[in-house]
Amino acid sequence: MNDVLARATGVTRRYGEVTAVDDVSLDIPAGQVLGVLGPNGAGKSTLINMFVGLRRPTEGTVRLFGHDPRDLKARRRIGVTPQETGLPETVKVGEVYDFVASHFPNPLPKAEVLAQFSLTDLAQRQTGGLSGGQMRRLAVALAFVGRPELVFLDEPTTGLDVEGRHTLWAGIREFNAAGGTVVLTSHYLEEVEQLAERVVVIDHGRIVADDSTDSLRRVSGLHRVTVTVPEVPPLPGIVTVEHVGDRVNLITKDADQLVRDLVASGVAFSGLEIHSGSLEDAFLALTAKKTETVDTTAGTEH
Amino acid sequence: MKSILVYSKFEVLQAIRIPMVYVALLFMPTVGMILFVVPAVGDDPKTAALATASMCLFAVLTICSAQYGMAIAIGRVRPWGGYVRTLPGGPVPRIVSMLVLSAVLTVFACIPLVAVGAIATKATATPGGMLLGLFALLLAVVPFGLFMTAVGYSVNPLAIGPITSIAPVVLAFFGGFFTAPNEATGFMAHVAQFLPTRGPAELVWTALGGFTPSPISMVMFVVWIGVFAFWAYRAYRNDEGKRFA
Repeated sequence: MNDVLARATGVTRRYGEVTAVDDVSLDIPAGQVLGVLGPNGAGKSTLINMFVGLRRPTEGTVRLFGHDPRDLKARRRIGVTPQETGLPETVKVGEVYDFVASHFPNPLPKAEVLAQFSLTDLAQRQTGGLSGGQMRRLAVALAFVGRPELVFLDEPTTGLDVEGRHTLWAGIREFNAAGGTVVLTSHYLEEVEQLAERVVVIDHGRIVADDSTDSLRRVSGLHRVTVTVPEVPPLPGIVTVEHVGDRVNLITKDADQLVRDLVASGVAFSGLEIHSGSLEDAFLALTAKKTETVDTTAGTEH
Repeated sequence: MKSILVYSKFEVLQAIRIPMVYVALLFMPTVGMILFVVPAVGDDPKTAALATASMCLFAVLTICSAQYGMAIAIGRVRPWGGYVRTLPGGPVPRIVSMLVLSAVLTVFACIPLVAVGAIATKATATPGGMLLGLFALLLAVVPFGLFMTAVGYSVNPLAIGPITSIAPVVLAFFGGFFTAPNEATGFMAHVAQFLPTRGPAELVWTALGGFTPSPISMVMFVVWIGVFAFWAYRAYRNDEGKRFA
């Protein structure tokens, strides 16, 4: 379990003036499902691109199975999903499999891969003629073709319907149960919550949290107080304010005190609900801190 | 070797299923040849053969601008290229397969042009000359391919369409593809030999026989390969940071 498959040490990546990843160190141990979360532009893709050998760090080192990620020996043991918009349109599904499979010494048989991702009937279809969901399934399937030990799944279920998403989740769990290691990025926090046992939150190129999914949820000690209220009063103890339709989510560390304050403030509110924190709340709290003056209109203590 | 075959098959499959490829490769140069070259070449078999060769080289230039200039520029905004680089393949099969596709398309494009040349003009050539000519055409893929690779990585993908359609025509015109090789005078005679299109043209004409290349053109041929290789390398390096930041 404690075998480290991939490791970044003090990694920084700059694009000209912009620092996309800033002094990040991260271990990916064997057998883990690691969720990588972060707002758009936080540096997730750049970090993953360095692990899969698409980018070289400006500073620091990345090792993949003990090798440079550009080393073919290391890359034979990983699987990556292409972003689905990129598949060459005129090539048939079966031919894309053939092309990818040719890179690996012992690929999964074509029939098995296509069946597992419900693509069997589409083998003769050109990728340009696939629906978004079919394309997504093919893209994810390609990550598993080479019998990888470690897969990097970038937004694996974007564009899938609920059923497709659950099928894919089952597939990822099965792969993990058989010893496979997964690095997952997703903007569906529910997906990360369902699958990942460990979560790394990246913001502004830095790791702002790295913990088990459970303790991140619990240790953050956050609660969500949901009310319908015309205007949120500037109460102490509100970490973040989220508007969902006419409902307002108030993220706080102490729900009891917040409710007392809310009542004391005299605002007319209705439909009070209190939930113990989800990963989403922890994520919002972690990434909102630096931008709260912009994001939240009320409720933070300054 | 196996991976080179797989990559080449994949490149060819992608290309041959695009209908525009046939229009651009088979139809356009052939129509151009029938409309402009056939009526103009007259009775001299040598001139007709060289004019046919020029049209073949023009087709190679068009192929390179589409395959390298256009495809690379479009590829920059598509993530498939990045995905392929995560596969354990390395750069060699990728580069070789591009060249294989160029060769396949070159042969394809030349068949109708040579047929028109043989049927509608008095052009003659020996089999050996034609084989050497084909070899010279493939050699021309090196500077044209490097040039268009550089363009593909340097230019905004939105601007690549017009550039890759106009550049081949301009370069071919000033390289003397549309005038009789031995009769160029004035401006053309002096300027053409410094252009990147002239060296490959003179090599193709020489291969067919009846033409002596100028030393300046041959030196410039080598110089341009160096310039384009350097430019392509720089453009590739500079592009890397911007693609999927």
